[in-house]
Formats: sequence, C-alpha cells, structure tokens
Amino acid sequence: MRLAVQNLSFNYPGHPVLQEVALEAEAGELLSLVGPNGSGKSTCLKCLARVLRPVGGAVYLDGRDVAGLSGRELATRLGYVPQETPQVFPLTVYEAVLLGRRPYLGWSVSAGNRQVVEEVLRLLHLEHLAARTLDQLSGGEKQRVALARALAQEPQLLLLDEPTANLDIRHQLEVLGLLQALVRRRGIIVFLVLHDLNLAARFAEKMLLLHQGRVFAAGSPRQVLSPENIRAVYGVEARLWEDGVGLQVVALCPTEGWLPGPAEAGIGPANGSRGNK
Amino acid sequence: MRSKVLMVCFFVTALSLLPLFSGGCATETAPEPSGPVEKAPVTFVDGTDQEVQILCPVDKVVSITSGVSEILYVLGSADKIVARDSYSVFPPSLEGIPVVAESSHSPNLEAIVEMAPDVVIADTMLKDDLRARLEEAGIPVLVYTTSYPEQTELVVTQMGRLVGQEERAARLVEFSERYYGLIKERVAGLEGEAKPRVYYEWQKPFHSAGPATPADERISLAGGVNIAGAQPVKYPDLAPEWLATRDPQVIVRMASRTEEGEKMQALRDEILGRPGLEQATAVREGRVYVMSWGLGTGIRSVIGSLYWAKWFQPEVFADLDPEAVHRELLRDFYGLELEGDWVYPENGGQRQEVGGRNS
Amino acid sequence: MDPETEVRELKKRGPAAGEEVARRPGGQLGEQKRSGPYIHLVGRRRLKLAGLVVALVAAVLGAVCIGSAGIRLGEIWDILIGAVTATPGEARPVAQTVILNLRLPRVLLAVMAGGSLAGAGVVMQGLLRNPLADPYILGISAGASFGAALAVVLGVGLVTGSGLASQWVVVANAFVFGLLTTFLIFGLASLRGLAPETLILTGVALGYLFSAGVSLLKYLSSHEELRELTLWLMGGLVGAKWETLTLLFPVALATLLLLLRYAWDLNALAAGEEVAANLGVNVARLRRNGAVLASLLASATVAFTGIIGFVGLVAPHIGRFLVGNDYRYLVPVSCLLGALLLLAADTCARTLARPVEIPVGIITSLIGVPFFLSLLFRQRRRWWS
Repeated sequence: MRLAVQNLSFNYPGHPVLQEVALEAEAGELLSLVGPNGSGKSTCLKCLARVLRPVGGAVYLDGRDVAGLSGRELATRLGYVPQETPQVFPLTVYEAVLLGRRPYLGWSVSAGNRQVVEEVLRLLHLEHLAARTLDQLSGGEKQRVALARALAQEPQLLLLDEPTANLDIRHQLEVLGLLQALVRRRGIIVFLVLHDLNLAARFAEKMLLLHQGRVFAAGSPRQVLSPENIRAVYGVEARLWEDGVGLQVVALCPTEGWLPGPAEAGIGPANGSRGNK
Repeated sequence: MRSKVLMVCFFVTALSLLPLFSGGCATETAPEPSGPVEKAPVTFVDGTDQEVQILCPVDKVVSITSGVSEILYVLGSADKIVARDSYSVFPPSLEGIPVVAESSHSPNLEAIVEMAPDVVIADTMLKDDLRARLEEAGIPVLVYTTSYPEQTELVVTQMGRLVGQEERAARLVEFSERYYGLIKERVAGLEGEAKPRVYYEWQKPFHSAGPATPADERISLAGGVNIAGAQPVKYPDLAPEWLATRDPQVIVRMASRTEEGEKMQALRDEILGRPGLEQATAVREGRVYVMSWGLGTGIRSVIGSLYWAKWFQPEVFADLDPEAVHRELLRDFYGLELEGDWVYPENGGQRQEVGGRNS
Repeated sequence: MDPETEVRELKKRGPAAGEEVARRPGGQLGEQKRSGPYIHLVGRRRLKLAGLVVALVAAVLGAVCIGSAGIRLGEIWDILIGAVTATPGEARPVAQTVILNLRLPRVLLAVMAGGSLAGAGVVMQGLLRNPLADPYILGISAGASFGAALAVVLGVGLVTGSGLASQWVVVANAFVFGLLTTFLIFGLASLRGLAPETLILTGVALGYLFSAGVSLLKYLSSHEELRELTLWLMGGLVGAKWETLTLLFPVALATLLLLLRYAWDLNALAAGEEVAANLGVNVARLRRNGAVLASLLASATVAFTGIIGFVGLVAPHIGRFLVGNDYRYLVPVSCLLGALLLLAADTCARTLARPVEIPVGIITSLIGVPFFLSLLFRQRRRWWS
C-alpha cells in the first residue's frame, strides 16, 4: 500500500480550507497531522476518506484515484473514524463493531466475520462490553468501539480524527501503542489527527504541520517541531528537549502575551501588551 | 371549479346587496301601522319548551331551517323572510333570499344582528350559546325540530300566529293531520312480524339513527321497526356485519336536497352492491329506497311518511298514491306543479308498482 | 518506573498485541466458533420474531372469531375450511358473507395497514436518524390524503365509479403528494446543521397545511363530490374489500422486501453519515430510494384507510425495545407489531360497544399511549445524543 496525495484543495463556500496539500506514505508508516484549531486537519482527513469531495487535487491508493473506487472497494481499503459518532438508536458494542464487516457481508453474518469481530473486541479490551449498548458506555469506551469498527474493516489505510481525545492517559498510550504495533506488524498506514504534540512526536515517524490550510512543515518530528515552527503556527513560545521517551514539548506562554485574566494574576512574561490596552 | 368561484362571487354580491333588501322591506312595511293590523305580544312555547315573547305579526324573519322557510312560503309570507340558510331552496323562489347560515349549525351572527329581524327561527342544530347571543342582542329566537312528525302541527300553528295567517295555517295542519291520521289508523292494528325491520341510513354508509330520534319515531309511525332502535348512541355507526345478520327488510337512505335523479340512483346502487348486504331481504327484494331530505322535514314530512308507510306496508296502503297527495299539496298550498325527483325508485319499486296497478 | 523502562514495557506489549492481529489471515477463517454472544443475541431475536409471527396468526384467527354478528366458532371454522377447500359448507349464507366478505377483509386490511405504516415509520426513523419520524408526524400521511382527496374530488368516483382503475388513480395521486411531502422533508434534512426538531416541526406544519387543503376541498366540493370525499376520508378500515387487499398486498409486500435490502445500510447509517459512507454506503442513494419506498408504503395505505396516526411511530419503538436496532430484525418486527397493534385496536373498535362502531383512532391512542409511555419510563434511554 502506498498513499499519495497531490495538490489537495477544498473550499467551503467563500473561504478556502485546504490549499494544495501534498503528502506521501508507504506501508508501515504512522503519520500524524498536527496544527492549531481551524487549520484544516479534520477537513484534510475527510478529503482523504472521501467523505468530502476535494475541489482540486487527488488521493491515490497504490496509484488508483480513490474518487474512482466503488463504495465496497473503498470500505475494504480505508477505515475512517471521525471525532464523534452520533448515537440516536444505539447498537450493542458487538453490532457496532460488526458494522465494520459490512463490506464483506451479504445478508447474514458468517462465522468468519464473527471471528474477526471477536478478535478486534479482544484486542481493544471490549469483550466484556460486547452486549452493552453504546449509550451505556463512557466516552473512552465509545472511542475504542469506533476504532474497533474501523479495524474490523481490515483496512490498509486507517484515518483517525483525534482517536485519543476522550481517553485517559492509560488508554491513550494503549491505543497509540496498539496502532504502532498494527503499523509495524501488518504493514498498514495509520494517519492520525492529534492535538497532543508529545504523543504525536513519540508515536509517529512522520509528521505534518498544517497552518491555514497549507502544509507548513513535514518530516520527522524533530524536523517539524522546532521552536520557530511552533511560534509561527501556534503563536506559542515552547521549550523542546529530547529524552529516552521521545521529543518533549512544553508550551510556555502565548507569543503575544497572556489574555487579561492570568496577566493580572502575575503569571507569564512581564505585563503582556494586551493587558495594558 | 369555475362554477364554484362564480357561486362564491354570487354570495358575495348577494351579501353586499343585503342592506338594499332590508331597506326595501322597511319601506314596504311602513304604511302598515296606519292599516288595520295591530301588533300584540304573543308568548310562544317553541319546540325546545322555551317561552318566547314576540310582537306579532312580525315583518322581518330570519329562517335558518329549511322546513320552516317552506312553511312560511306556504303561509304566503315568503316576502317576510329577509335571510335564510343554504338549504332553504324549496320552493325555488326562496333561492333569491340572502344566505346568512350554512345551516342552523353555523349562522353568521353578525349578519343576522345587523339585519335586526323581528325573530330568528332555527332548528336544534343551533347551539344554546349562539341562541343566547342572539337573544342578548334583543332578537327573539324560536327553535324547532322540524323532522319530528308531532312537531309539524306545533310549528305550522305557531308560524301562523307569527305572521298573522292563522286560518291558512289551520288548513295546512288539517291537511297534514288528515294523512297522519290515516297512517296511524291503518298501522295501529299491525303487530310483531307484520312490521318490517327497517334500516335507516343517512350521511354516510352505516350511519343510522338510534332511539328517540325523529327517524326512529317516523319509522314506528309508518309501521316499521327501526333496526338501530335499541342502540345507546343517538346517531351510531353500525357494524356492517351486525347489520348483515339483522337482515333488514326495508332500507331507507336519505339523500341531500340537491341530490336528484342519477345521484339518488347512485346512492341506491351503492347499497345494492355493498359487501355484506347482498343477502339482506331488502336488497334481494329490491326494497331499498332513497328519499330526499326535502320530504324529511317541515310540512312535506307528511308526504315522506306516506311514502314510508307505503314502502313498509305495501298491502295496507295499496290504494294510497303518495305522489298524488304530494301533487295535491303542492297545487293547493304552494301553487306549484310537482317537479323533480323526491324519491327513488319513482313508483316505489317493483312490488309497489304491481300493487298500484291492482288497486 | 523510569521512562526508559516504561517505553521498553510498552514496546514489549505493543508488538505482542500486534502479533495477535497479524496471526489472522485477512478475515477468511477456516476454523469457526459455534457459539458466542452474537449467536446468542441473534437466536433470541429470531425467537422473538417467530413469536410475533405466531402471535399475529393467533390474533388474526381470534379477530375473525369475534364480532357483533354472533356466529358460532364451529360455523366460522366450517366457513374458513370451506373457503380454503372451495367446497360450500353447511353454514348459513349470511354467516358466510359476514366472515368472508366483511370480517376477514377487514382483519387483513388492519394487518396490512398496521404493518405498512410501521414499516414506513421505522425506515423513516432510520433514514432521518430521528426517533420522532413517522409518516403521520412528518405530514406524509396528510400529503397522501390530500392527493387522494384531490383525485376523488376531480371526479374519480370511488364508490360509484368504475372500480379498480379509478382506485389506482387515487393511489397514484396519494403517492405523488406523499412523495412530494417526503422530498420536502428530506431536502430540508440534508441541509447542514439543521436541528432534528426543525425537521419535525416542518412535518407538523406540512401536516396542517395538507389537512387545511383537504378541508378546503370539502368546502369547495359539490354535494356529490363531498359525499364521495367524506365517504373516503371516513373510510378507515370499515370499507375493507377484497379488491382493496389485492391491490394493497402486492404493493406492500414488494416495497417491504425492497426496503429490507437496505437493512445493513440503515444499520451503518445509525453510526453517522460519514461512517456509513466509509463503510461503502451510498448515503444519498439510500436516502432517496428509502424515502421513495417508505412514502409509497405509507401513501398506498393512506389512500385506502385514511389517516391513521400513532402506529407508525409506536410500533418501531416497541420493536427497538424488543430486538434492538439491527434493521434486519427491526423492520420485520416493527411491521408485525404494527399489524398486531392496529388489529387489536380495530377489533376493540368494532366489538367494545357492539354493534356500534367506535372510531379506531380513539382506540389506538387509548391502548397505545399508556403502553408507549410506560415503555419510555421503564427504558430511560436517551434517544438523542
């Protein structure tokens, strides 16, 4: 599997969201997409997942344009987990994961498909919840069910929008560790949107930093996460160092100073300019 | 659709001309005070047992019940009707009078009050609070159930008092009592099996009339037994299967005043072909009759009762020709020739036709 | 534990998990487990489905046996056997007429109408992901009824007219207006960021609009047309005839079977449009085809029975309570429940005050609402997330 994205652009009426995004990934790579709020991360992921149709550019999987794939072809190649899944009529956990097998199913569910579901459930420690309905789960459990559903699709490319957003630190580590293992052992590509720069730097070999709809920097975490880039993109002063775990980022303060509240409390750089206005 | 628009236009025009009409009436009646007619208060006890005091004879009447409009016409007082309901269409000359109500159920109070009539006459479809509103406005209201046979005399007599035509009213009562008397006399001896089971239907399929309704009383009067006469509901929707097993021997279907000829035939055909009734005696013997509401209320309800009597008891009334009586009534009291369709089949069905020729 | 050890631990554990995944060759497995939570779940659902089928058959037989005509069970049995074997039994002709031409068609019409309305309701709930969706609330029934009324008034005699051909015209017109309403609702639903409440409010508003249209037709009609119209509007289940059934049955059955083909797609849609699209569902086509089929189902029913509310809303929710939200089971179960509900209501309507008929709407509400409310309170589920 090879993923290639060329000149991907997307507009919402009136304003461009993505402009000429390009990237490449090989089998066995874990990529993370980082950037501030509104920089186009989720939109980028949706264009890759063909949830949104880009206005320009194309996404190729093994040289085939995803725009030309049938629904079933797409579903067996590419798994997508959005940030939130609405649950109006909640399925049981088992059924929710079973949905991932839809592209492989006729009417009834064969034993082989059931086995895939059950293994994915075991993998994500969801077995004991199998009979529960989704509305009875915690946020983290729901997140794992959504991931399990995408894994049950057995895709070669997994697109995840903030998969750790609702997880406690232990589950964050477990989920990212699992993804890393999947990438290594099964040679799939995992492409994540992450907010946490430390986690992104630690688990992803490749990183894309998005700024106002454009790729601001791409490469290894060490190349992308420089104090200069972080200042330019996030508007934040940061300190970086490396230890045995990985690249560590600590955001110190906004480059332009604190908002009035903390400034009065005497935290941060001497009386930020905004506080005096 | 076009004709409906025209009709609406017509009503609008008629309503806008209304002040002219009432003005005209006023000038006509102006010389009367100097004439011999003295107005005097008369107390009426109307069909709902209400005492109502009215200065009689009256000049301006709003009649929103068709039976009374017809009676007023017969009493030679059609010119005193300043407004009517939409069903007051017989005799046809009434159609020129402005309409202020679809029926007694929905009168236009504003228009009525504006006309300041001497009296409003309605049937029991007029709700009590609407009646009260009219009375608050100083307009006396008389309410009758013109389809009860025994109220005919009361209504005609009181209308005679109201417009100062007592003598004419008495003749009319005498006419109607004569034939009601005939029916009662001949039916009196009939008992049990001799009275057919009658299914009465109006408005829509399986919609009938229960005990103490005008239809129930008229069925008994004419020598039949109302199939729905023991039901606890006044106007019940009957279960089709129950009706089928009760095997009606005669079916009477009411048609609205505007349904004539082919439409009456269509009503009858629908009953003849209705699932579940194919085995009913009435259907097998062709004793399914359609009658216009025109013969169901007011003075001509006696004609309706004659037809029913003949349908229910063809042998007993073999010598009776309701159509001839109808013709006589129209000629002597209305000054009209019999026209149009009032019942279907015309000559009372095949059995009756045979009976009629034998007589 | 220092970070280095932690990482080593993690790395030890991670690949181990991966090993487990990697062992499995892409989903095609030879060795299979016979039991499991899912088999158990499906087994229970099949059992419930079968139970409902048995209950419906029993209810149909029971409903055929009671009525205001007072016919003995033995005689009913003779008549039914006679009808099946086409041999005239010894039953009275009037009893035969009552059972075969009145009671049986009416019972079957209740079953078909209840099933169709519930089927339409459950599919609309799924398509719109809205627990309040049903043909009545969304105004589709009112639209269909307006269409049918228009056909009646424009001179297609239902009662006096020429039978089947004109009935098709009424159904077709009902369908056109039902569909029109549906497309309006679904068009609105496809707008971004529209609250589910807005959708329901629009449906309610359209319902009022079409009801007003029917009233206007009544007002403008000549007496003849009006009588036809009133007859038709009040028809309900009383007017059941074999011709109606032979017309409605193929339409309802074909539509339901076609809708069942979308069961998996509806399941996927429950997880959101984006996920459904990722699972290979053509969401736009699903919405369009599903909406057309569901409105056909509802409109055809409304064209013969007039507006019957509540069944289309309640039956699916009872179904969800019984068998969960897998549409492969939910659609048939809802249909069966709708059929049972309307059959029970109509049987009460024609027998409680026999021989006087009580309007069926009164009964559906009287039985259905308390049942539905108790279900809601017992369940305490949040429908909206």
